[in-house]
Amino acid sequence: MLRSCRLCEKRCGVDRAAGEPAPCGLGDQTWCFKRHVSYAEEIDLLPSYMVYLGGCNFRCRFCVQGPTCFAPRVGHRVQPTDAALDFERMVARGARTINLLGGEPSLHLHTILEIAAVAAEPLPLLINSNMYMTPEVIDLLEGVAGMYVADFKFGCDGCARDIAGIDRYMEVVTRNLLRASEQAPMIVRHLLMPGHLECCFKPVARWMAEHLTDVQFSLMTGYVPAWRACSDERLGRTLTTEECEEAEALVTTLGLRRSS
Amino acid sequence: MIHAPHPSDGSDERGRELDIVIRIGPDGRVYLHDITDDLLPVALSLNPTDIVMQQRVKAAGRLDKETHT
Repeated sequence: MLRSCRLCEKRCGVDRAAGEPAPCGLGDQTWCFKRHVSYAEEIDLLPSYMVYLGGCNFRCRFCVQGPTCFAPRVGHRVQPTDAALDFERMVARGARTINLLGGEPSLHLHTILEIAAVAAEPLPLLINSNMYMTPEVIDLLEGVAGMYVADFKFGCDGCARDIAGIDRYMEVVTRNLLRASEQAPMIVRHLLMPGHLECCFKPVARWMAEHLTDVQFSLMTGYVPAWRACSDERLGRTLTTEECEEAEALVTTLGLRRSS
Repeated sequence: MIHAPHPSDGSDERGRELDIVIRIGPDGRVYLHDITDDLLPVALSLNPTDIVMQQRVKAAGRLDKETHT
C-alpha cells in the first residue's frame, strides 16, 4: 500500500517507499516526536502511554500539537523491535493502553503492524485517529488495534474543508466509525469548538444517537485556541459556559453513552 | 502552561521539556492536557472534590515507579 499510498482517503498514490513526498509529507519512515505517560485521557485508558507519531493528513487550525506534529521527522526514528520492547516494558509497569497518536497514526500502518508482529505478547494498542483512513487500513488493523479513540471533529463537510482542508469528511468518517466500531472497542470524541454548535456538534451528537448508541461518547469542552486558531474570528476564543451547558444538555437528551 | 523538564514516569523523554496545560474553565472545571503524575496533585488541589480527578490520581498509583530505566 505504501508503493501507491492509499492509507488515507486522499488516496494520493505516491510511492512513499521510494521516498516520494506524499501530501502528508511522509515517506516510509516513522518518527516519534514525543512520548510520556498521561493521565488526561478517559479514565478507562489510564495510565496511558502516549506515543506521538509525526506527520498528519489534516491541518486543523486549532491543532494543539501543530505545527510540530506535521513534520515527518522530528524526535527519533521508530524502530519496530525497539518500540515493541519499549511498549512491553511500559505495559509491564502498569500502562493500560499504548496510545498511538500524532499527527495521524494510521498513516504509519506499516510500522504499527510490524511492531505488533515482533512483540512477544499482544500489546494494548490504541489507535487515536482522525478516522480518515481507507477501509483497507481498518481491516488490516483488525486484531492489532485493541481499541479506537476516534475524533469526530466536524459535523459538516464545509467546516472540515474550511478548518482542516479535508474533502468528503462526513462520508468517510461516518463510514469508518461504523466499520471500526465493529472490530474493536471505541470511544468517539468530539472537541466542542466555539461557534460550531449548530454546524458541528449537533450533527455529530445526532448521528451518534442514531448510529452508535452503544459506543462511548466523550464530549471535550476544554477547547483552547492554538496554532492558527488564535487569529481566527470564530475559533480564536475559549468556549462560553452557555455553549458547554447547551452541548451537555443535548448529550443527556439524546441519551448518548458518556465517557469520563 | 507548565514546562515540565523531567517526566518521571520512566518514559524515554527524560531531559526533554513537556508542555502541560492545567486550565480552569469559566464553569470552574479543571481541564488538563498531557498531564503527568508529578502534576496531578496540583490539578487535584484546584478542585479537591472532583471525582474524576481523584480517579486520575488513583490511576497514577497503578504505574510501577520502581523500575525506571
